Amino acid sequence: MSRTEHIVEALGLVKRRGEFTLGPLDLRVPRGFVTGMVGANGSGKTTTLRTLLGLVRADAGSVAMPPMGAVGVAFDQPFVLPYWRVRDAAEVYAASRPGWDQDWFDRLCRRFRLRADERVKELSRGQGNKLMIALAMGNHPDLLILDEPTSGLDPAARADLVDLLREHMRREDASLLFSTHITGDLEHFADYLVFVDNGQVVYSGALDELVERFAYVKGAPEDLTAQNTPLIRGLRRGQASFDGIIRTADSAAFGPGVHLETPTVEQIVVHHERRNDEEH
Amino acid sequence: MRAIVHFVGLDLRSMRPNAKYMLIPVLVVIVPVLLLLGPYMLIPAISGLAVVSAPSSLFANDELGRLDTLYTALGIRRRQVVAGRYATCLLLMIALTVAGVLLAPIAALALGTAFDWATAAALAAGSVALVGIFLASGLPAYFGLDPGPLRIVVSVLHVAVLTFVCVGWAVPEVRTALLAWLGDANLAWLTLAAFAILGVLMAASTALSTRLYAQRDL
Repeated sequence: MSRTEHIVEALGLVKRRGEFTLGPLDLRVPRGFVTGMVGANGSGKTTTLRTLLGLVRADAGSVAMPPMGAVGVAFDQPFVLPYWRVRDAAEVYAASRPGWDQDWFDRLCRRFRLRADERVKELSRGQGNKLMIALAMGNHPDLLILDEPTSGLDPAARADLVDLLREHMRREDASLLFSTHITGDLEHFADYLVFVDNGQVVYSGALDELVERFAYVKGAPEDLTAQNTPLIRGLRRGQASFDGIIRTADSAAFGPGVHLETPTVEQIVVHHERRNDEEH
Repeated sequence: MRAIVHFVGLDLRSMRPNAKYMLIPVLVVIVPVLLLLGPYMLIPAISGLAVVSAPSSLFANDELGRLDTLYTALGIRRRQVVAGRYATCLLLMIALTVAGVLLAPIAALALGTAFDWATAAALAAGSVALVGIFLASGLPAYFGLDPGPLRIVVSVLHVAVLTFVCVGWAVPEVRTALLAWLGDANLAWLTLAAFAILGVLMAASTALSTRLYAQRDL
């Protein structure tokens, strides 16, 4: 994929915060696709997004981004004054964002059941998220960057938000980068995945390739050998069974009694993080 | 320039709901200053509120609403934030100084004391210079430091110097000497020199704030 096919490109990005170090990481967000960033709490997802946006100053590396007028941003907490009303926040955005579409914003508010005269401090956490997403989408940006957009939303609202984002992605060249620790958000929605763990990119690429690259393995304890046990990530041993994640390339190391299946993103993430816990 | 004007508008909008609370320090200042120091001292006292109230209120709003993130999301560059914030503070300083100049003769009339416009103009120019120096010295602390006690120390220092100036005026010998000096001085040149120095200080302060703010994680 050439440089122009990436709407965001970060190279050699490093940020040190106390004992935590993000990177060095290379990150490319393909233009016209949904890219999900997944990882545990504290893995560096939000720091990565804030560094891309320039809110956090990188210690090293470079970032290529579209101009902010073409980027809509929402974090998991509102960044408008709590005593502003919804319409005040919209007025501020309308005065600053090129191509602001008030009708579209009003439609989004109706869809999210936000009233123009409601104060931001009176909104629930989920409603606050929805307001920031509506503001971010109000000028039909080329790139949406959303940090934990579904946190605080009930399942129905989460599904509705995913539907809305799908509608947004129907626009030619629209791109979406969002972080989440709810891996269910990624399944059947994200095209690409960035898996961040402990400040490092563990995987960056197509979601389909990730699930092809790994296999969920389950079998009886006697199927474990000294040779194949080290190949299992996040090995969980029970009385009568074990399970874990392996590289598909290592499948031959397991006997016919071992059951192999295509893993979910959640299984890959959970087992990978369990391996880290064991190492630490 | 358009971005700076836009930012000033954003700043004033963010202060609007709190404007009534800013009237409280004005009233707290006006009454004792008027009774103890006379109408002329209303000018530096009210002008001084620009340095006491405006930056603390604006930066408190930034923290309350995570507005640094908003500015980035709106595409306002950090140097435009700095320039805009300086412009807002200077605008408020001028507005409050003008308010002081307009209130002083009304107070003099109410108290039945004499009022000289030349003295008032000299005090207004002196107030702008003094408060300008306070802003130039204080704003880099707001831009460079995270919220905390150091910012408060800067504000307390400014209030202390302002109080010292007002109390100095209450001493008859100091007041007489100052008025005599003002009477002898070429006020036009004095004002010009004060504003030139202030301009240089403000430019240096803005450059320092821009540098400090650029290095901060928001």
